[in-house]
Amino acid sequence: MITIVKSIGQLIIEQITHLGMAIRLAIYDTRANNAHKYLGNLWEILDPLFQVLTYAVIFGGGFRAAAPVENIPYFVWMSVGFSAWYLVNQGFSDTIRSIQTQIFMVRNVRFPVSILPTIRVLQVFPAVLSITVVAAISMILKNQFHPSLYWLQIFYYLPAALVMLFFLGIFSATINILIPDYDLAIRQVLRLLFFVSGILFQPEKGNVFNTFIFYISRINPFYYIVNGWRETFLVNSWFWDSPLQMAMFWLEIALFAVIGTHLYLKFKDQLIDYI
Amino acid sequence: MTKSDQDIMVQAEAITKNFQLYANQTEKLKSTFLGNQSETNFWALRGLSFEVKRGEVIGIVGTNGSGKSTLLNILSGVIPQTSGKLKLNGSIGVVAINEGLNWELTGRENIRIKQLMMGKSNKEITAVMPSIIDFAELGEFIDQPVKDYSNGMRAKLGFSIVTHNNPDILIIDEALSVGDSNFSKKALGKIREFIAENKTIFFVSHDLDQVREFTTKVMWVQYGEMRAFGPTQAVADEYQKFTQDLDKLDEANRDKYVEKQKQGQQIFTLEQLQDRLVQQGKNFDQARNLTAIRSFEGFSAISLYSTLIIIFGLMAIVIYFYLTKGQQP
Repeated sequence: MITIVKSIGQLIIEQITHLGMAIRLAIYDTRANNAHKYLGNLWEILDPLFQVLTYAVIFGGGFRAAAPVENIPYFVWMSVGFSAWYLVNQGFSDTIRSIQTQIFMVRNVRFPVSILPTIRVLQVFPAVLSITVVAAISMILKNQFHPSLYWLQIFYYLPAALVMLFFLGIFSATINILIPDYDLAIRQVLRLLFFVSGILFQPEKGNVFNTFIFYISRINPFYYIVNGWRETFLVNSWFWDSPLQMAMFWLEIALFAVIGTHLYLKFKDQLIDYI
Repeated sequence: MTKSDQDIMVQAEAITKNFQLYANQTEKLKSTFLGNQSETNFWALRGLSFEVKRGEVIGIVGTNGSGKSTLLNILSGVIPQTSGKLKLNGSIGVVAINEGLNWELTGRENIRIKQLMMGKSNKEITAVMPSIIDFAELGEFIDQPVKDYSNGMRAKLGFSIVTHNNPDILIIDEALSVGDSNFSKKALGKIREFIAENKTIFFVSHDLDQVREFTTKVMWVQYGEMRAFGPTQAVADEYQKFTQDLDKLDEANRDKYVEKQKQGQQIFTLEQLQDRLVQQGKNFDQARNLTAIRSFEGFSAISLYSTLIIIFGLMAIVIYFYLTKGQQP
């Protein structure tokens, strides 16, 4: 037990001590990826903005979905949730192949492989920031921009999201090398998860199917983050008011942390044998 | 610690490497989690032991598929050995064709990303950048993607990046054979500089003349076993004689010979190695220790499973509370 907690702690410390290097590599990798495009780094922002626009047109315009909270326009409600969703979804799916694609670059170099998933998460930040700016502008335009003490909760939800992404990432990146099908399988799951994580509409009890989705959302860590974002900026309620969901979220993180760290420590020196 | 101990840069004892050959993916997955289940083993290395001191330049020779590359990969930490002990005393740099370059990025970007991974700051990198670019002699191509490079250009870039990192132990894997004579000369000059600085160098080349010219000792690896390790002159002569003899054989006989050796690599077992080590004067415990398969342990099974059970238990409690209290979302 103690060794497990210690190893997990060491892994986190490794991230913190190498944060500077991770940020430099993240910036550089993003720049290098876009260097050959005419619009360059602009794509980092354009891509998420077009996504949010698409959903706004289809669900806000076409299906005339309404926000589940009174007095809040749909686009405001959706875009705030979407910024959180983009962070957890894109961050997570980018980490899956992080070790696999870069292990050839880092061999022969004394380099902590565990920061490769972290780099991928950091690379999502510009996109998340751009959606956040769009959400903020829509809030101002619709007269929903009311900064309050609740907003400080972002200092709980953002670290929570990052911790989740890191442990999910280290777990996924390792397992994806052992089981190459993992990447594709998770993509199918994420596609479905998008619609049951309360990004476009709130899961509510109803018929059997809706009730099932509702209960799934209670234990869905992605929903916890997306919902947390909205509670912070729009609905204004405190995170300690839903202690059971909070407990569930952190237990799930603990589960991934234990299994992920175990797999990583077990396989980190022999990953290249499996590629 | 005596002085001679400090001077040992690489110490390898009974290094083996086993490649498991699987019939299909399912079998491979089983082996991943349950240990070696493969029926076909191929021992690329069968118990190599050697010591290399500071300032020695070691040539590694052997015919194709004899395990040279596997040995270098293990030395540089790219792949782990199956059993045996390896002690390295200092940082390692590897020059090989295409070594660790990202083909999508330009030469300049590759230089920077490699240096970032070494933990250098942007400022330091900008300072050494001109000298690396200058040495690589790529001209306009430095800003083109590496995938458009010729083999020679990639070798130049890789060589330039690695040597500027100033490693204690330098491994050169046939990288010089692809460059033109002009670059070879320059690279060999750089290697001479390293030799003058008393660095340790491993040098793999099929060009026996180059090996004779540069190295102080030669290691002859053949079919995963060490045939000879000693002063350049003697071992290089021996190896040359071997290749000439092999060449003299007609094709059928040569194939038969190679086939027989390869078979030896399949039926080799760690028990054989253990017996051999005992014959060489190790006591039984030492031999058993050296031939123990290197294990990669995460957490111990008991603590892992008990922790998981606790977490699942707590989850069950949370769900129980949720369902009984009917907490509002």
